[in-house]
Amino acid sequence: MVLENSEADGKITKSTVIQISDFCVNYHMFKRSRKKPLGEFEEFNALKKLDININDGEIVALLGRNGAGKSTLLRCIAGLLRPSEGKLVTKGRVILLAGADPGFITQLTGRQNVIELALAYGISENELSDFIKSIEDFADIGEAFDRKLSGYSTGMRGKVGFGFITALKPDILLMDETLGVGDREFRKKASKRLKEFIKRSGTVIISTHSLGLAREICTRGIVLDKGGIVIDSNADEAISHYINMTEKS
Amino acid sequence: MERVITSEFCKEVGELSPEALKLDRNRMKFILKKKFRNLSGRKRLGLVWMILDPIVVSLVYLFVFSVLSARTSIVTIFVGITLFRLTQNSLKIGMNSIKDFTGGLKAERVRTRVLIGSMIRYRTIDNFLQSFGVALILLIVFDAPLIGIISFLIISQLIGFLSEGVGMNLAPLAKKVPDLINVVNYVLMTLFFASPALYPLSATEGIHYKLNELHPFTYFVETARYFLNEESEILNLDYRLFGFFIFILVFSIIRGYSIIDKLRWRMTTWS
Repeated sequence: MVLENSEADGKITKSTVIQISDFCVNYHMFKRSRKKPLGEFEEFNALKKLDININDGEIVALLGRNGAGKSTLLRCIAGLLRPSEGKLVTKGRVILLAGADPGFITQLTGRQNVIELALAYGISENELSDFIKSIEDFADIGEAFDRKLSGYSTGMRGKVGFGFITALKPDILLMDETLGVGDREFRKKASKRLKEFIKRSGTVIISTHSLGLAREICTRGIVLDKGGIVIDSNADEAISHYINMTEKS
Repeated sequence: MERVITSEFCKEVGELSPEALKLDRNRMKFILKKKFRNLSGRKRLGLVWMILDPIVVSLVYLFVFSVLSARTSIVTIFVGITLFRLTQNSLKIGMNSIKDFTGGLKAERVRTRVLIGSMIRYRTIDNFLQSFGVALILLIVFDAPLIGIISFLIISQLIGFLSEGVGMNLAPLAKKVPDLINVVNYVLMTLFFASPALYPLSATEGIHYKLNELHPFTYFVETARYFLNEESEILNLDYRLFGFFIFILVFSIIRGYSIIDKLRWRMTTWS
């Protein structure tokens, strides 16, 4: 689960699982134009020349204001977004926890969704019954688990979705602010499950505004601002820097 | 599994393990089921509507033609309308193919081979469902020859895939210029009445006939009618032109499927 022979750069070690070099991302936004009848694309630079190496087992907090490029970076690592320049190498299975919908089908019940999605996310048939039970117990929505998803509230859907994604076993886990669903009781439960999930996952990158969570579980912190890295250090230092940065403005 | 991401590609290094291949198969099944579920929705008859739709539309036009006292064979109308609707639907699906490249799985990237595999399976089933009902009616009610029925089913598959291929080639342009979708809709509407969907090619003359000679659909529908012992001009048409159309269409479908990976990657940053 590690990149081999990558010691050429002093910072890269054998246990590097995410290697990002000279990485830039430009979004292309369609714009009407008087000169060009078919319109044109306007570029927006979201990430600028990032160089990051993340080792196996690291838990990294990704901090920054809204629009700093945190979600863009996570989507790139997940292989969902194309860079305009640079290279990114990941080693192992990457799961992105963004929101709490792994791809639900509203015409099916919660249980049917879990079964169909589980197979599509690589859960073997032997593990299936334990997997379903784990989600059913966690979501704790009673008989509603066997009702069609179209009748679920947003909170109920979030509980099943969060329970589902956190029951998977990724090598690299990317999290994008996901504890927003459910009531107070659920959030407490979700926080506990999340910590177990993080322990089980090899490497974790969390994009969060919750500095308490970052301080409690992260070993490293990266602060982004306007698409560039402001600081890449241990979690405490990065959090302090982020606090100073946001208090100044 | 090592994944390398650059501006040119997002690819996995090395051969896929048996587990990865099994996962891909499960994902294809999931995507396929999801597509058909979205189509059937809460409808009581579900996918049966895909079989019924060309039959019902053909019957409606048959009624219109009988009111107008037009002398058109029932088999000719059934074949023409089914093949045209298949062309129309496949073209539109091809043009919309780039709308969602996640395959409905939002927490993890799905390999392009999974998306292509599910698209091919979907097209095969869709082509079959849309032509099967009519084929059955032609066989049972109109006593059509078996060779004609088989040809009709094969031509349905061909026309479905080829039209989707053309649609996939138009898709990037339609994404940049969404107005193209309206233009294509108007062109299809015009072609429905102008091309030999509702009547045999022999019913046309002059410039109308000449224009239809340049329309690939004419060759497919007239071939199907020929094998069903219906009025057909296929033997009078230029087979070299037919060969040329087949070549262009096959090229467009190969190109359509082969650019998916590149297109999928390029489009992730378009908004």
